[in-house]
Amino acid sequence: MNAVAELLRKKLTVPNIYLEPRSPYIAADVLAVDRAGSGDLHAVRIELRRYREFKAPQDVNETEAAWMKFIREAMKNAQDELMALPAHYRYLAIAHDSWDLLVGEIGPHLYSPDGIGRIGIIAITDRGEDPPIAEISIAPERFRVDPVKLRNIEKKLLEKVRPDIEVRI
Amino acid sequence: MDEIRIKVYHGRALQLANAMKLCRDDLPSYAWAAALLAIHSAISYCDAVLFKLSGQRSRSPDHEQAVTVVTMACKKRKIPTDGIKHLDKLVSAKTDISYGDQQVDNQRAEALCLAAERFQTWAERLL
Repeated sequence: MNAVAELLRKKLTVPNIYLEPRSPYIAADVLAVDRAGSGDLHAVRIELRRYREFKAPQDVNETEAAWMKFIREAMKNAQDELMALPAHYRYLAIAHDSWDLLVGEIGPHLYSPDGIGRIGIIAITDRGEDPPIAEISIAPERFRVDPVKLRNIEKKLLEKVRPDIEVRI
Repeated sequence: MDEIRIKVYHGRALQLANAMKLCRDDLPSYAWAAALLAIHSAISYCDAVLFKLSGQRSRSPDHEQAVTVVTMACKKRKIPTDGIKHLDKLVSAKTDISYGDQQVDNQRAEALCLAAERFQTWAERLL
């Protein structure tokens, strides 16, 4: 989560960053609001945990196929959730290894059904004892956001809860 | 027309701040550049804020004057002035950093970048 937050802190302009914001209005793992809280919303779903839940079949020959099926399903669920998130920029953060397996087939599924917006992909590389690093593999494109949902997030989350990471004045 | 001017100054301020960020990532190589970009991004942010609040920027070549003008404009509109102290710090260092004969060490450059980032945060909330 810190690697993703650090990536957004560098990419955006003095963003306010919320880690696992507890809000019924936005189910993101990391939420960054650009330009000191006055700009676009960037929401990230991190899908590392589900991969850890994978139980390999007893027959080793079936493992790779089962793994591919498992991550495809996890990816599909995450994409569906991301499509419904009220944020201008949406990202799916996944392990670098998984991304290498799926790079060819995922592209067309990242676009919004209305053609406005594309989910960005963040690849996370585990570096053993060093902290993991996050990199943008596919750049996101801006989504259209329902103004009523956006206002709810502004009023009930951004105006009330202090961000976990911010530049203090 | 004012909106366009605000965008021009804001855009310039953002570019300079982003360039400062790049230099800040390698301060031993770019301390001077980072310090100068910090100062100039803050001056551009100040111009953008002044345009937003009063429809004009400070004409004085003395940037210290801009600190007074932006403070007055904020007080008139009851806007918190807490971020302006960082602008003050930056414009006070301008002559020394731009034309002085002393080295800018990493510590000083980092302090100026931090001040610029804090002033940027204050300004972004107004723009």
